[in-house]
Amino acid sequence: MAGTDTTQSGKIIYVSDDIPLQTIIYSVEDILGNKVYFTEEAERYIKDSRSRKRGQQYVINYLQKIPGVLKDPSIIILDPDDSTDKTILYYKEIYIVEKKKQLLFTLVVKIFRERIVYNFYPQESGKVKISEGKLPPKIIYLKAGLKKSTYFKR
Amino acid sequence: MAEDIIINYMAPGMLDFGVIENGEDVETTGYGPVGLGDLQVDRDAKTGEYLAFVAHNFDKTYFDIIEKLNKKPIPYRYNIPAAGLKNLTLQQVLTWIYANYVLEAKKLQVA
Repeated sequence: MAGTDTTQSGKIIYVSDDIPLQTIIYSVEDILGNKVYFTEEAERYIKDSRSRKRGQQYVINYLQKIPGVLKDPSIIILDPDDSTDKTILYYKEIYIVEKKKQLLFTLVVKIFRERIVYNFYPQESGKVKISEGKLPPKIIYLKAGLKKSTYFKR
Repeated sequence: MAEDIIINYMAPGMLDFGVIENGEDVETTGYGPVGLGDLQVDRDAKTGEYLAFVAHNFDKTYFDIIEKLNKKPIPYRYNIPAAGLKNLTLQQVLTWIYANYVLEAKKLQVA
């Protein structure tokens, strides 16, 4: 897959006491230069989550877009509901052939000892994650030419 | 009518659950914030029905979500077929998940 490093594929890594050992499929250097791992455990979770929920099966056909979301996102924010700043949300528009239109997607990365992809799902257009009663989420990247307001419509 | 749901949970707090697919080609909104804090909702684009839910930090945000839901209840009901539970409110679903996934995981760590 373009842009991925598979030299550690199959290697089992310990990242936290809180989660099982992770088996690497590939790693990607994100737009900010951070190494992010995509693991067999995450792939299984995402496939199972999307394939069995109503209206979401098509997402399975787009898991190969994950490296592109990491390397060329539209906007990256810190999850406003994680006070430890260990949950990072990457957003990018992806053209969905089945629907003949672009949809916004969220890629969730959790920071443990390493950065691990944790979920991937369609996001409501113009409505990235905010949390009522809390400060607006911290934007850590916005692609040149894009406007913050495009993603924070209320 | 209560809908059957499937639950996916990955420790430490990634909760992803929703109505089980039934072969219908349903158009959904995509997940978005609906005033329930960490809990984002994917809705039926036509009816507005809450079909699927995701929370990234559920182990820490469960109580906040319940507090928000108590102030602003939603009318939909859900079944958890895996547990034989029927016609549950969203609060009841979340409480069952918290007890059976989050607290279970903590219990295993202590043991």
